[in-house]
Amino acid sequence: MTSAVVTEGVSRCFGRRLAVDRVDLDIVRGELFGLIGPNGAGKTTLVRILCAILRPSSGSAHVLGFDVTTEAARVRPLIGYMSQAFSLYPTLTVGENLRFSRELYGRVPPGRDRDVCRLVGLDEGDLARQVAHLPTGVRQRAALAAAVLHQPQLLFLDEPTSGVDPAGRRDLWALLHRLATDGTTVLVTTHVMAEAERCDRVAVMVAGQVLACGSPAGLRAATDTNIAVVDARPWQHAYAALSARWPGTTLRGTSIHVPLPRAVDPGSVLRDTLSEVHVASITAAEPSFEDAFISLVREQQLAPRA
Amino acid sequence: MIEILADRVVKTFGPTRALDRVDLAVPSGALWGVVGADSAGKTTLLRCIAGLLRVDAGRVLPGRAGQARLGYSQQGFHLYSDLTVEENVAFIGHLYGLSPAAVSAHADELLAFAGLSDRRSSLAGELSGGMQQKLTLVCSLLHHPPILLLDEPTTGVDPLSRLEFWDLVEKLHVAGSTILLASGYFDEVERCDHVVYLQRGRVLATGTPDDLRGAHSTLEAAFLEMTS
Repeated sequence: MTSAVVTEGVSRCFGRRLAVDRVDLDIVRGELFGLIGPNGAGKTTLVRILCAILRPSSGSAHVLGFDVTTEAARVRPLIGYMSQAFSLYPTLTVGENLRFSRELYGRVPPGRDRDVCRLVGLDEGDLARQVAHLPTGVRQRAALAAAVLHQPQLLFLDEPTSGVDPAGRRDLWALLHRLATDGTTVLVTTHVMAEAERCDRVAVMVAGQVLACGSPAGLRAATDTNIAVVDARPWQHAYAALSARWPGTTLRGTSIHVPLPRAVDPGSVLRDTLSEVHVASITAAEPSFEDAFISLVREQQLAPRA
Repeated sequence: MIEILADRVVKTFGPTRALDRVDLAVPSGALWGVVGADSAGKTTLLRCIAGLLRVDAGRVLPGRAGQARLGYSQQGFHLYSDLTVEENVAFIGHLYGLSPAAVSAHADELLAFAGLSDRRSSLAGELSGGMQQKLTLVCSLLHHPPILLLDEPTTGVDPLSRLEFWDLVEKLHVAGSTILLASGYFDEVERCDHVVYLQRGRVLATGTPDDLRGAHSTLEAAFLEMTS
């Protein structure tokens, strides 16, 4: 399998701040790859380096076989970028925006507009509508159409489903899977962990570094967290006691979810904390991908920095 | 006792029926979530309940007459970016008619509660999205309201900040506040006692997360099947 993206020790400083810190990545062609992490983790800076917009301060990055620093002009025609801030012209129609993108890229084959519209599910009526008046889901599909018009081999999407309704989100992810199946490499940044779980692999970025990289199931299995579900009365007292003792404790209705290290026996440990309330049950639940992500980030924040 | 009520509420904007006979009744001390797509009517519903929009038909509580008992945190960031955290709090406190001494005493406690004590002198515009949402919450709590309306407080906020924000919501819930929260995230409203699905201005379904989930693994999957 050939690589779409290879970075070796890529770093980027802004003044004295290290935004990206020695990142090594190898993204395979045709992969749907997620980049996740808190705000300020360095995701956007890394994507901008890979799009040949920013130069790395040190290390190397190759995109589709070309060095992003010395061969930037060869990288740019091969990639598509859909930014988080909506990137079409609101006063133009969808069709006019697509025409503008087509003329900007130059080498778009005839009939490609029609194929792209069919791919993303835009019809003739949508093409005639002014972008400013479109629902968010349709706008995102139009932005995606503009980003793939020139048939990029690698597509970057920054928070593509922000503000999109559930059915729209499902359709957009189905589309990203279809693009990946057809051979386009897709790199998505997202805040929504349930969505990150739909990627083939994800990299978790915190404070400029890649903490972990692997399949969502693999990352979930590798974290040292189990969830204990506690039903107790009065639940308010139980929640107060548990959240004071176990950070990350959350409520689901009146059930209390407590993240615990895997080695700990929830029954014995939690009953000590809950001596003042009536405990109806303590059961185990699989951690969600979000639980696993939070546990990973917390472990990193507590660990001394290299 | 019902603290937050929408009873057969209708609201139209020109030809658009934004709310179409919406019913909900949140008992004292409960945490309810309204979930739905963009333009489902969530914000219009909260604004009607807060008395900021006049309903065309039906009845709301607390409404305009009950605004003193209400904390309303609107969607997005609407405080003053070029004022500091402390200046924003002082200004909003003044709008509520609180004395500077009363604001100051309560603000210390609330900023500590929200983890913003060491950001008092920061410009609000320089805070992260998560911190801005916490500041918005602090400002909506200054007058000790027992009822809270939170409109998409975590949209666009990263997962860790979202967790921290929910920690605050849960503490308020445990302390007895009555809370109605609108969200576009299904995993988020799974944390509520009771969920209302809103679609195109109508209540599509309502119940506890367990009831609505049914045989599905998530609320979102149940919703998608219901609407497909």
